[in-house]
Order: sequence, then C-alpha cells, then structure tokens
Amino acid sequence: MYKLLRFVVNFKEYITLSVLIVICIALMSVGNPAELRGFRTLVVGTIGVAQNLFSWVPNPVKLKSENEALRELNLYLSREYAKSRRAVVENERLRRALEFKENSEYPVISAEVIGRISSSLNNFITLDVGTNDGISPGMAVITDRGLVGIVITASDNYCQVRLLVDTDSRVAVQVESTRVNGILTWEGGENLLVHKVAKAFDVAAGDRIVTSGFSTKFPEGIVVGRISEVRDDATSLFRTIVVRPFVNFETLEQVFVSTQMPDPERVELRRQLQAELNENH
Amino acid sequence: MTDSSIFDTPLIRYIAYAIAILLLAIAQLLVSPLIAFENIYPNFLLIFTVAVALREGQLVGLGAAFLAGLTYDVIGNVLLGVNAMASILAVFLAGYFYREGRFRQTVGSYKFPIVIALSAFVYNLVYHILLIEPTELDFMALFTTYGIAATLYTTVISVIPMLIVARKSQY
Repeated sequence: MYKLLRFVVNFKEYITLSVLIVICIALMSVGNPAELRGFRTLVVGTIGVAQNLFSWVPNPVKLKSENEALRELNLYLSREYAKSRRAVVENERLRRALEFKENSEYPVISAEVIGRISSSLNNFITLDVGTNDGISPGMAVITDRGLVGIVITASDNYCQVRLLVDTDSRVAVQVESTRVNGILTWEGGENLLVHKVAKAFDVAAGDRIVTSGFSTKFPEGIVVGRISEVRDDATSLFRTIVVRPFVNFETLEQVFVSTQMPDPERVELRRQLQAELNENH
Repeated sequence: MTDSSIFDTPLIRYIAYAIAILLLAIAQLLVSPLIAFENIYPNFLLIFTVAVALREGQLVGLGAAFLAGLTYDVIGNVLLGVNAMASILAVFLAGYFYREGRFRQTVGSYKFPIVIALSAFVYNLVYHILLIEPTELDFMALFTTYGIAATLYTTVISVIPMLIVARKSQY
C-alpha cells in the first residue's frame, strides 16, 4: 500500500495526464449530447450579441483582402458588362442585317469588312467574299442604311470596294420626291455633294436622295442620304446640294453585295459612246 | 499573476485562474477574429495555461489546460474533448520547463516564446490529427498551412506577455 502511494505521488503528473486523456476520449465518443445543445444554443446567442457589439471594429487584413477581392470582382463584372453590351449591339446589328437581307428587292450576298485602306482622297474597304462567292467588279455594296460603294476588284475570296467617300466616286442619284437628277461626288469631309442642279428645280433640305434609274452601275432606288443644305451660287444658274449620307463609313462591319448587275446592253452602249467621244477629242 | 498577498493562497489563485480562463475563452471567440490573418488565429488560452504550468507546475497546468480546453469546446461549438485533449498534451510538454521560484525568469525571457512555440506546435498537431485525419481532407496540406501558421502567430503574440513580465521584473 505504501509502495502504491509512493508510486502515485512520484508519477502523479503522468497518472493525471492519463486520466484526463481517458476523460477526453470519453467526451469525444459521447459527441454532442442533447443536454449540452440547449446550453450551447444559449452560449451561441450570447456570444452572437457580444460579437455584434464588436462588429464595428475593422480587421485591416480582412479589409485589405476583401478590398482586393472586390476590385477583382469589379474588374471581372466590368468586362462581362462590356461583353454583354457588345453582344446586344451586335445582336441588334445582325438582326437588322438579317431583316434587310430577307426583305431585299434584289439578291444580296452578306459580307464582313475585314480591312480598310484610307487616305485623304481615297477610301476602300476589303470584304471577305470574292469570285468564289459570286462577286464581280461593278457590283453595288449596300447596308440596311443605304449605299456604301462599288466593287472595284475581286479575287477568289476577297474583294475591294470603293466607298462613296472617295474622290473618284460618281453615282447617278435623284431627289426622291421631285425626281431631280444629279451626279453624287465627294470632295472631303463628312458630306457628299451634287453639283450643277438647276435652280429651276425644286429641292429642299430634308429631301431624301436615292440612286437614279439612269445609273448603269447601281440598282435604282437605293437610299443614299438626306439633303442637309442647298447652296445657291449667285453667279450661276446652278446650285449645289449637300447630302448627309445615311451610312456611317467609319463603323462599317457588315455589308451586302448586290449581285444584280446592270443591263449588259446598256453597259455596252455606254462603252461605245465613251469610245466615240474619246476618238473625237 | 501578481505576487500580492491575496494570491499567496493557492485556492484563491486557482479560482482566479478559472475566472481568467472563462474570460479568455470569451476573448478568444470575440477578439481573435479581429486580429486574424487569413483565418489564422492566435491562441490566448494556450498562452495562459502554459504560463500557469510554468508558475504552478505540471499538475496544476494540466488542470488549467483541461478546464480551458473543455470551456472552449463548449462555447466554441466544437466536438467535446478535442481542444481539451490538445491543450493537456501541449501544457504537459510545457510543464517540463517548470522551475520552482523562477517564474519571472522563464516567462520574462526568450525561453517563454520557445516554450509557447513547442506547446503550440503540439497543440495544433493534436488538434489537426483529431479533426482532419478522420476525414478525406489533406492533413499535411492543412496542417502545414494552418497548423504551422497558427503556431507561429501564437508565438508572436506570446512576446507581449513576455515583455510585460520582463518590464515588471526590472522594477
């Protein structure tokens, strides 16, 4: 008995440790007793109130990481928003293009603008369609908004289009309401011009300009723009019409090529006339 | 833990330890989240119970550790016995550094953070073994990330009481 007591006294720490470990294991095996749940609920509620009182105290490290996370989220959401805006705009554009194609009076081939060649005098665009798609030089290029230009050259898969905003561009047009005819040109700037319109003819700002039936290059009736100004020349019997085009040539992305070619007999007749005029001069 | 006369009586001291443990357990729940780094929390209860072991010896330290661990298991909504087991093993190790009458010299010097580091390592190791090992979670990854980090953080916090005791010893 004395030895046992001495053993217990000498090793009291280890015995205590062992007993406590056994108690801990027993508690772990009990788990979450029902009697304790009620007490824990009370404690959680009390701690919750106390934590609420402390909630105003900022944690700088947490704030910093939260700030960084929010910045990243903001950047991501901004990008997603921009993407969805672009998608909405493109959806609208494609919907209009599809409507135009389905309602077009003449057959058209849709094309994407894949390149631009611009200078102060000349402006061309490159399309992703060519002779393999049925494209030929001389075909009119249009959008749902109006006339864009004319195909100048075509390879197997691509073609180049001279825009209306080109110093070499000449389009036979007429005022839609009064049928007054003229030749549409471009001399720089945002607007197109029709020179030598007789003062006797009735034209006014706001009238629509469309392609004329006299044209051997473009189908009749394609909208071009609206008269923004009528310039009278006091020293002449003619006036100049300033036309604001409906098409925005800076933002062309999707166009249509009209496969309707001019009457070959008319084209041949014109060629012969031009040749005779050149001979006489 | 002052040397004033009222605390010369062991019973009064033990009651004071029990009250301090309860308050520190509440502080552990309320204050440590405010100073946490990436979900790494310092262990105030462990620092206190190790200090008790260095002052009173292994036996009293074990009692304090058991009480502290169990208290935190109850109010912290953790499986009963987990914190208690980890605490008693950690403080048992710390008890080996007990030297009678040399409390201030131990706690007020570099030895205290070393003892805390060893104890915190054992505490976190046992804690993670008991909680993580039975699950499918990667024990090594979690222990090296959270266990080691918590050990280091607790060791850093233990420098504060070390400096306080060291300063008091000068006067």
